[in-house]
Amino acid sequence: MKIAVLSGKGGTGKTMVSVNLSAVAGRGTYIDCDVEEPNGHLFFRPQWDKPWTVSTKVPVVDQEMCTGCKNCVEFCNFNALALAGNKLVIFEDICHSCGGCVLVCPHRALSEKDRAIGTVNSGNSGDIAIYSGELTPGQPSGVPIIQKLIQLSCSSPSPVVIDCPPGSACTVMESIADADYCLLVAEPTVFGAHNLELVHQLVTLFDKPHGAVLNKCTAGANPSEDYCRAQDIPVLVSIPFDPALGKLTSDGLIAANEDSNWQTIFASLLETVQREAAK
Amino acid sequence: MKIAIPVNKNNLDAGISHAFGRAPFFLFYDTETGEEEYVSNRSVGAPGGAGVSAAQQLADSGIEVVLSPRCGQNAAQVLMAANIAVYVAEEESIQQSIDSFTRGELKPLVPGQPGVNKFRRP
Ligand code: SF4
Ligand code: SF4
Repeated sequence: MKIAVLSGKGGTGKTMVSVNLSAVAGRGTYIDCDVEEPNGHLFFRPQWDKPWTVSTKVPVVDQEMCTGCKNCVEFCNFNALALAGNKLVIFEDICHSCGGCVLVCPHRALSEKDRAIGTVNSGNSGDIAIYSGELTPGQPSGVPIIQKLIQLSCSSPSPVVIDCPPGSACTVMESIADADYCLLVAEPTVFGAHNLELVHQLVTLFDKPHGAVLNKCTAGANPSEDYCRAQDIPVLVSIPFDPALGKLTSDGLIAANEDSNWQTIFASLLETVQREAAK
Repeated sequence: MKIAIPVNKNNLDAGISHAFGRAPFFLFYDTETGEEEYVSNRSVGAPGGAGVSAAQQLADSGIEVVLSPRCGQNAAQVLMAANIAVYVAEEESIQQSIDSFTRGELKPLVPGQPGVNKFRRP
C-alpha cells in the first residue's frame, strides 16, 4: 500500500501530514521525495546507515577524435554542448543525461561517464523505515534520485508514505507513478485552490484514486473546499487552523505522538485512505 | 572587426538588452565598413542553456567582440573558447557603446568578476 502525499506548492503541511500518517501507522516506510529540501527526517531523527550515491551519465569528449561536425551540438535540446575554437565544450551542470549526443556522433568521439548528483539516505525510527533523497544544489533534475527512492520502496514494508516534492513537475510524476492512492493537501485560500487544481489535474492524468486533506481551515470561506465539491474530490479530513499544531510541527515534533487528539485525527485519516484505496 | 551587441529591438534606438542569452536580437556591427545587421537570437525561447547557445550562434557568425552589460558564466566560457572578447557595455544607448568601444574606453569582462553572473536554474 503506497500513499503519495502531494501539494501544489510548499508550506501547505504536506510533510506534516506525511510524517503523522507514518507515525500513526507505527510501522511501514516513510520516503522523502522532496529532494531539493528533504526535511521529513527532522521529525523522525533516524540513525542513518551508509548513504548511496546517485549518479547520472554525462558525455566526455575525445578531442582527438572530434572533427567539429557539430551533430551533437545541434542535437542537444538543453544546449549543454558548444563547439568553440574547434573544441567541444560540455556543460555538465545543464546536461540532462539523455545520452543522445553519444548516439549521434558519427566519429565515436563521445562516451559517457558517471557524475554524482546526490545521495539517498536510509535508516530507522522505531519500526518505521526512513528513506530520504538529497539532490546536490545546482543539479538540473532530481528524477534519478526519486527513481532510486521508489525502487527501494518496492521491497520496503507497508504502508509506504511518499512525501512528494511540491508542485506538479516531472519529479512529482515520478513520485506518484507507483502510488496506490494520492492525498492532495491544500490550504483554504484562492491560491491554495489554484495549486490544488494543478495537482488534481496531475493525479487525474495518472488515473490515481485520490482525496483531499484541507489544512489550516477557518470558519471563513474555503475556495479549496469549493473546488473539491465542484470536482467531486472526497475531502478525507479538514484540519482546523491551530497554532498548537503549527508550534509542534515547527519544533520538529510529530503531533500524533504528542497529543491524543491528533493521534485520533490522523489514525482515522489513515484508515479512510486504506479503505478508499481498497475500493 | 565584427562586434555583436544584445539588443531589445531590431533598430538603433532600441537599447541594449540586459539579458545576453535571451536578448531578442543581436546587432552585428562591422567597425571597418560601418555595416549593421540585426539578427534574431535563436535561443530566445530555449528552455535552458540559452547563454550557451546564443554564444554558439555568435561564434558561428564570426563575431570577434561582444559588448554586453552582463553575460552568464557558461556563455562567457563559450565566448572565451571561441576567442571572442567581451566588453562591459554600461551605456543604455547602442551608439554610445559602440563609440566608447572604438575609443577604447570599455572594460573587458573578466569571468569571476562583477558582470559575470552565474544564474541559478529555476
Ligand atoms: S546527454 Fe543529452 S542533454 Fe546531455 S549533453 Fe548529450 S544530448 Fe545534451
Ligand atoms: S558529433 Fe562528435 S565529432 Fe561531431 S562535434 Fe560532436 S563530438 Fe565532435
